[in-house]
Amino acid sequence: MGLTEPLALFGLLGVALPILAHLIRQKRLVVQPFPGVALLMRVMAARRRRVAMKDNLLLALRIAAIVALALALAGPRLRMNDARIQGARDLAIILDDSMSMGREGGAPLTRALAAARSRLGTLAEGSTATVVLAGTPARVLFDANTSASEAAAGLISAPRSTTRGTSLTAAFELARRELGRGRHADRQLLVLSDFNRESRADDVPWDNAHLPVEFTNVAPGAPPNNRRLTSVDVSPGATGEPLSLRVEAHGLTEDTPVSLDVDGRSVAHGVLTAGPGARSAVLSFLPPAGDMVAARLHFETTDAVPEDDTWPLWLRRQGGAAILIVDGSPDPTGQRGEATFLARALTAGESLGAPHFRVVDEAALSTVSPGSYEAVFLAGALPSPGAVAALEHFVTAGGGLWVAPGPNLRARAFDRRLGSLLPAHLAPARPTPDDAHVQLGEGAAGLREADFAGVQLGRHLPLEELAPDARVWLSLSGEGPLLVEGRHGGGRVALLGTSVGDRLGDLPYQPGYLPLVLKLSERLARRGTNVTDAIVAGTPARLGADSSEDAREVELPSGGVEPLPRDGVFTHTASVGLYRVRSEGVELPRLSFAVVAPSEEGDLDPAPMPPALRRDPVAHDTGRAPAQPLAPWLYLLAGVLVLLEGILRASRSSGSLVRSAR
Amino acid sequence: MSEPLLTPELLPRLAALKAQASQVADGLWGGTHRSARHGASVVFVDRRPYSPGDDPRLLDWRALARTDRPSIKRFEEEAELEVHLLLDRSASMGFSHAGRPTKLEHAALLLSALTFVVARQRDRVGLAFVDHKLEPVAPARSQPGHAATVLELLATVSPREGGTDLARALSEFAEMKRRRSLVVLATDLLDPQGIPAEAFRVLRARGHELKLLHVADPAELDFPFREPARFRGLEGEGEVIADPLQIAEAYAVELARFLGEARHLALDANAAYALARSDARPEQTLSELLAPSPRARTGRRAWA
Repeated sequence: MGLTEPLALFGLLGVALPILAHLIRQKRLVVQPFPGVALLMRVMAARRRRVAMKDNLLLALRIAAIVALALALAGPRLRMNDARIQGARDLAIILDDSMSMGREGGAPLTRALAAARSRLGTLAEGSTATVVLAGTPARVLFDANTSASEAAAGLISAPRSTTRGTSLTAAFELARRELGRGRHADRQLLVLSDFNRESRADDVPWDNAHLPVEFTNVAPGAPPNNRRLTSVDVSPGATGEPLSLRVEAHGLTEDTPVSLDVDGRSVAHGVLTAGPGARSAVLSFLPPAGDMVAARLHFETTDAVPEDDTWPLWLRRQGGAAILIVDGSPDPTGQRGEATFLARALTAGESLGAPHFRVVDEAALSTVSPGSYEAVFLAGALPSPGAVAALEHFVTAGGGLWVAPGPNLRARAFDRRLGSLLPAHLAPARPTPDDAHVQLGEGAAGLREADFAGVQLGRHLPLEELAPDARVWLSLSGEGPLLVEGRHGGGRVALLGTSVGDRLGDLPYQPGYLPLVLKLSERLARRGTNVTDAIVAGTPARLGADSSEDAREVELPSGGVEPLPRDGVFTHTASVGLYRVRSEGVELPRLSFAVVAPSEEGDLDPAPMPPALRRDPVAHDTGRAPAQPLAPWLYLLAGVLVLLEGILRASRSSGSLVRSAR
Repeated sequence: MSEPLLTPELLPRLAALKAQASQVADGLWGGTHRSARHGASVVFVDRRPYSPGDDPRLLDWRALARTDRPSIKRFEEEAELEVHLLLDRSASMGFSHAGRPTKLEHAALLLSALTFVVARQRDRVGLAFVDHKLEPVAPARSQPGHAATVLELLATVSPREGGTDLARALSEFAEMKRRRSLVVLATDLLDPQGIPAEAFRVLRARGHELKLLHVADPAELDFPFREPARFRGLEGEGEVIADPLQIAEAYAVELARFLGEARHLALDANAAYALARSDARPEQTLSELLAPSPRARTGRRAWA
């Protein structure tokens, strides 16, 4: 007998509940003087035995139900002693399907599969086989309910080489969990891997399982040389000027040429010189036309692991970020609304490479997918709770948000609705002193304070309790911050304590207004980098949740299409290449991403292999790991006990618990 | 209880009541009740042979002429009635519910009304309290001011802490009062030793006539409680935790058995019995109690 969740046994303390409830209920009863209590005693004397028996039975049922529930939660398992399955065992195989196992045409993986099938073939009838794939993320290929023969048959066609990293620790935990669900006392763990440095087999707590563990290195001998690209970065440059692409690689034993292809055409070349450790080179090229351009950096020759010889990347046009302006107080004339001033500023700056934008009404926000934009400006708009949730996902996933409460200055409403996102709390509006002037903070570096010297505000919302990482852009002398910016998840949020229009002051008419809007827009839209961050193969891409009804999908490098879940977490990232995101057929450039090979996985140098853990599986398992789960039966028992308790309680209608005390 | 129990409204309703023993009285003075002694009166009983020394005035001359044998006429001698009121003042009699008078107050009212009736007949009335023993507080007298004393005692009586021992109290009474009398016992009969049937029989054997006023609060009879409670006795019986809705039926059965037993034991001792609900009109209860028993109406001797 063993327990998977021993802490659940603390639930046994719950047996005190029915007793306490009984005592408390008795204590709370009112005292009723009654001279005929002798008659009541006679009544009870006649039925005390029956009632007491029922009461005792009720108490026993309640306690038994709680005990059964607590035991069920503890997950007890019982070893099966069935003569029919003597000799059978539960075997768990951890099969490394990481990128390094695909070296030289996948020879190590082929050997691992053969070894696994061979071992499965030696198991006695009735044995079960769990197969866990150790490529990132670790996955269960065959669970504990799979017979050895089924697993052997399945392995013929199942795993192939991937571009994943190695997660031996996670695979070990999965295998351990599955073995805990097994049916036999005799259990064993077999690990088939090339045990390269990335696998970090020494870090895995193999001994914790108290199991015999056998390790097989399926890539013996000296490893072949393998070059690998480890990082690529493109430095920002002004529009029309050449971009500099810095590439870094490892494992170079000879000078290696590298090329950058854009849209299938080579646009730059370079040579990485041989040497130990990281080697780098810089390639210069003219930025291509278009907002998002597919590019691929690669060695011009291949080696043992071709997947890490290529680095896909999206080149993004400098500027041109998509911004969504949500207008909370549309101006019927179209001249002096909140959004109008922002739009004018962005339009004026577009010729300078500023972002382009779209304006929607407050009510239409819930129908728009924020994920299609890089920044959202709330110009006096108070989004609905549903839209706030979408905005929070949007910002968490890296988007930018600018909140300007507008001329109504509804501090409490904004603070209550958007408080978790904002970098500061909004205090109630108050008049702005005439002598208060605007001062620039660290966020506004590069702007000129003189350009805001003439600002006159009628009222403003004081910004209080700034977040620790908040940066002040503007402040009012003697009044505190007026515009602050802070981080939220992977994105940024800016909060303005006044209106971006002219209903509360003349801020839009100041010379500094246009550069302020443009600079903040670039900051929020994460301008300044030309390459989207790459995702390592096998790790999920977090693209932000979407509350709209639009169906989003992701086009894989292979050309296949997978739906993008509502929560924006995309897990089909096993292939190296460029991924495109579409919504209702319309491409969402901001969400497109690149998946690269795990750079360390390309290091084929072997790491020390753990020694085999030899244990007597049967003797050890007898006392530790039951195979047959008892929880379902205990849940059933608890249910039956609760049912019986209800029936007995109902049948007790003619006699209550009666206790006579002198 | 310092206020007078007998209100002006009640007194006219008591006018029709008459306290009369169904058996002979044993008073020293002449009165309106039959006496166990024979003497000068107008009620002829029987004849007996003349004996020397008999009063010649009692010779039945007509019988002598017919039979030629002298015989003496015998007449009933009428005597005054002696009434003893026994009031149970144990703790359980202090119970009341829903703002009604306590059982003791109601019992005192009933006995006050009886005192009034007896005094009006110029009969003797006495009072004793009963709890775990007998406590005589007023001897039986018929002087004009004595009834007022009894009424005052009844108006000021209060429950006494402690238990009830009716059997002991009645035995003490039977030992103390040798002369025949009418005994009215007002009690709730809630005695840990049970209904004192043996004491009833002893009273009967000593020639006393017993009338039993079984006092009860309506809450004891109807059991109107609805919520689970700790029912606690008033004389240290302990407590019972019960849900009234679940035991009401069984309680009603047990109560009916108890009332039936009380009535049966009373009749078995040739005692009149009346259940005195504390919400009932006093004259109704008393008229039921004082109504002539079937045996008396048929002319049978009560002790025959």
